[in-house]
Amino acid sequence: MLRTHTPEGIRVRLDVALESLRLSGSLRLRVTGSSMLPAIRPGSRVLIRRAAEDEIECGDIVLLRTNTGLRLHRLVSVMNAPDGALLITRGDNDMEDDPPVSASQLLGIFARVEQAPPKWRRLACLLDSLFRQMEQA
Amino acid sequence: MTDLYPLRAGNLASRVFGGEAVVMNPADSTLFSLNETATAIWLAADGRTTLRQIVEREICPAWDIDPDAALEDAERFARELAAHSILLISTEPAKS
Repeated sequence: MLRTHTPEGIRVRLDVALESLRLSGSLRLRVTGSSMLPAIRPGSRVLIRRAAEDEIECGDIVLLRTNTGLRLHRLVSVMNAPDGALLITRGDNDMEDDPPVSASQLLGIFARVEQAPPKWRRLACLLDSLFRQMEQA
Repeated sequence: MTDLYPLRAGNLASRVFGGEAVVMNPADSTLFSLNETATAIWLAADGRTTLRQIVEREICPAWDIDPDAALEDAERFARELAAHSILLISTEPAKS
């Protein structure tokens, strides 16, 4: 039986999701983490549209494939490098930029929130955001 | 009972891993994990083979189960996937 939470199971599901994005041009994802607060709350269901490098600009929220999985963060700058462009992103709720990734790791662009998280999750988000602000102060 | 011809919907992302298929419905990004029996039906659903033939060839020999009961389960499964638009079922074979 394919175990969902094994590394292999997660990798297979991720591959299928990304192939679906490539084939159909869109993908719906459930967001985890609070790094994009307040724009995107954890538990939100978001619509991603497939996008190429020339279709994005700074300020867009982009979906990237990284060594650890997927990242949905705001594009803050693009650096030219000998091997191609590097994308610099940052979560709206984060203090520092993410490590740069190659533009070839760009998967898509955030289109909209399709479904907000339930109210109990919103309260959890608010508390999480407050704790982060206290830690950063 | 009318013969049904199941056909995998086109343009679907899928992987078979460890004998089990993972299929995504592009309309709502729902992921389906099919067990081994369901995967055998899914893989054989070419639009030209009847569900009864698939059950007799792929399911009954491998799992040693009653053909009529297996066909009943297979029909239920096929209609469920058809409701999610990842399998098409017809009473006519698909044109090649």
